[in-house]
Amino acid sequence: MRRAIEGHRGRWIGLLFLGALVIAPHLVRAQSAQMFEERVKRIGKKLLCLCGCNQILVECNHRNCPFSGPAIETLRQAVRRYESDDLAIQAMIQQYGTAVLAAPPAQGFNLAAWLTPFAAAAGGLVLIALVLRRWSRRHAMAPVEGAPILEDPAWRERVRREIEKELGGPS
Amino acid sequence: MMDSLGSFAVLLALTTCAYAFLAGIVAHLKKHPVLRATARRAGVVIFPTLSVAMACLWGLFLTDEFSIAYVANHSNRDLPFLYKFAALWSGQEGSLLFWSWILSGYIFFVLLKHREEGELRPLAGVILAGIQLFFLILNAFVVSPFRVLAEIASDGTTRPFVPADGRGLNPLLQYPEMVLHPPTLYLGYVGFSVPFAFALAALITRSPGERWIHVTRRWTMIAWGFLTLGILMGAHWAYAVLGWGGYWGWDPVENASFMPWLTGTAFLHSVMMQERRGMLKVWNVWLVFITFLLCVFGTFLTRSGVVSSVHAFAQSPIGHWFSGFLLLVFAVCLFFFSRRRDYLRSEHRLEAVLSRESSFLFNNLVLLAACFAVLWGTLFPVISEAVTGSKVSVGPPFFNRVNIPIFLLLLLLTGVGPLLAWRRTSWESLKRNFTYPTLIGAATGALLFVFGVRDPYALLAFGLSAFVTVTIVSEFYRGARVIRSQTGRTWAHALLELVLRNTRRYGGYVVHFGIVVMAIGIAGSAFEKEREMEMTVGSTMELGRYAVTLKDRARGETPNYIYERLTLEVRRGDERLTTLEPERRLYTASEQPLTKVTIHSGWREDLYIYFAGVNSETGMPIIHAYVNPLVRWLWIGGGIVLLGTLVALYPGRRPMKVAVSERARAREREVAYAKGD
Repeated sequence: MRRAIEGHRGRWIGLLFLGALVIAPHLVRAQSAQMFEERVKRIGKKLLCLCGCNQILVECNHRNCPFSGPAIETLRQAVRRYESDDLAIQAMIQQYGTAVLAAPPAQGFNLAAWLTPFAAAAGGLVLIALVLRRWSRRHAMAPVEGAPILEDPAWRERVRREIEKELGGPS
Repeated sequence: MMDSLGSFAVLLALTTCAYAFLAGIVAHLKKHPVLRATARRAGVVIFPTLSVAMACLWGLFLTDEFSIAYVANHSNRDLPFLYKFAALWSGQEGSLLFWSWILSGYIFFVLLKHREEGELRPLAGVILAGIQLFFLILNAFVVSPFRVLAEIASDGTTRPFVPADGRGLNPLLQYPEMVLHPPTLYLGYVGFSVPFAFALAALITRSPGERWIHVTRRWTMIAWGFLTLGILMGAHWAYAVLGWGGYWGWDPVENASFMPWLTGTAFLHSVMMQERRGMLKVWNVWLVFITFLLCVFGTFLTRSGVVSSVHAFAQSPIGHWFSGFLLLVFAVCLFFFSRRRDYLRSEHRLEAVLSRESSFLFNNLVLLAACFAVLWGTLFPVISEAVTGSKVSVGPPFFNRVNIPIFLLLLLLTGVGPLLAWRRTSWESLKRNFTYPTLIGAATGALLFVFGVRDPYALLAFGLSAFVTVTIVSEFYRGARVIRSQTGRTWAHALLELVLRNTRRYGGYVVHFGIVVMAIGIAGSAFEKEREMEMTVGSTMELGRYAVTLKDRARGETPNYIYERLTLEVRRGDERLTTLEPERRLYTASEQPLTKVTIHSGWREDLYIYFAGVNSETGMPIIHAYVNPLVRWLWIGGGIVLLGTLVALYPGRRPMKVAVSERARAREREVAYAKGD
């Protein structure tokens, strides 16, 4: 009896193993197809549709778009051919020029695209700091107008209360 | 008949405007009051005259007068009434006439509202007439919407031609929001002409005090409010119509509307420094100039073909007109600035770095940095091509990477600024005001991190949103508490009283809160999910919490278009949520396709479904679905911003804050003298 059960179990395990052998390639293929599509999408998001719509290549949804359909097909071929994302992007650049990149490459003159806004902001910050410093110094040197402001806490509290009363809240 | 009347009305408006402009200049130079009065009256007349031209063009659209080229190119017989009405501004010629009409409306109300004599208002009227003159020249001679269609006969002569039907309106524009989006945007763009005119007039006439600021504050807020509404409507239209799942693509034309919004926002903040402290006069004048120039620049971008965009009108010679006008305006501004610099000297200096004044300076810096980044990104393809000879693209990845840090900093300043006192802020006050908001902001970020949010920008955005919300709530709470203690009223009454006492200040806080809510909505885009699938009837697509089943596929037609419609059942777990029906349409008159997006909107997320196409081999429909978190918050935030703008525009019960502040300061001195100091 026991031997019969073991025989059945062995047969089942054998069948399962056989099944797994048959299904596994399909599963692997499905998974790799999914991974392939994800990779196409990931790289495609770094590229731009050049039909004039200014949309990301894989997001262009214009029907019969003269650019995005063929370009996505070219991208698929590049992704199949190259394991590296960078190489696939290079293949796209060779085909369509640097304009196909959704953002300028951070090299050569195009580096200016990335640096200039932050350089300008930093310059503005320095300028403001200088202006603040200059103004603060002038104010420190300027004669005091009107009555001096007291450091008396009770008086300060009274003025605060009056201002709050005037403004309907702390100023 | 109507086209002749329309053309005549445009020419009459042009003549009247030319008189208003030239007579106004002569009256200003010769100090001639009668001439000045006639110039004013001529300025007032432009609006009713152009209204006749507008009525004629609308009449031509509504009566299907296809002998007129503009009508034939932008309408057709079966176009619904509402879209025939909106078709007027769907093309170059009509939109420019519409622009002129809105400008004449602003001039009309400015001249009627500000009747007082003196030099400021009349000269502002002359400057506005000068701007109007430019647009009317375009309307009359360069891009007239009243041109009659003609064909060349076999003998070489031309004769009128009337097509059986028009070419129809662009399907993308056949959407209810498109009826309102261009008018609101134009009201915003054109509205900035008013503060520009007053600023330039004040500079030319060396108008004493801050008169121009007081006059134009409301006009600036109205223009800013319309521009905000226009941008929001445009974003919503892009979301609901274009079908790529987003609402902002950093398209050059979107950028063109965003840039004056940023500088206009900077002006609305920095103007307070001039009102209260007599500071930043040069800065404010240039902010107004730049805002106006950016509005013209946006129009130039849209119409010149310098940059490619889906929104742009076809490349046309009109771009040269705008670049010329832009240069002329800039030269005039620069000339008068160089001649009148002494007029713009600040009355006060900064007393402490830790003050409301310096927070405004930083706020302005950040807003202008954002504006520059957008301008730079928009123009970089042109600059790069000119320098290197090769073309590059600057798309959403660039703008997002550069602008997100800037906007997060701006969000931080939204919370920090209002808590700093004018002139000087003590460390104690800083501690008192910032402890709870900072703790709550940090706790929010930490909590979200614990719950699995890992995107650093999203964490910062949510944390800062919490921080700013607490600062705003505490401002309302403290103000209402004071009123409650004074009057014994309920919290609701006290809050209402507080807002009515200083609508500008508390309206501003409401606007800030709206920005916070919008920031939450925008931060949600970090968690977007999407999936595309070819479906058969009965098959189901799983995405996030949703299961979308294709139930039916049908074809049909309306007088305006033929369509293919999918019926999709949306379920969440066991619950049946809704039925969505995305469509693919082909508009018969224009033979242009359009895909109608369907959205199931919720507080947590939107399920956005787009009928992407049909597999040419299998004939099966392809569905592209997105789960877009928190998008509804963006629209609600926009509504709150507009509500806050309305509150700020409402006249407060109290006198101007500057007067109150002066009184308070005078009392400070009295108290000090009474104590013998």
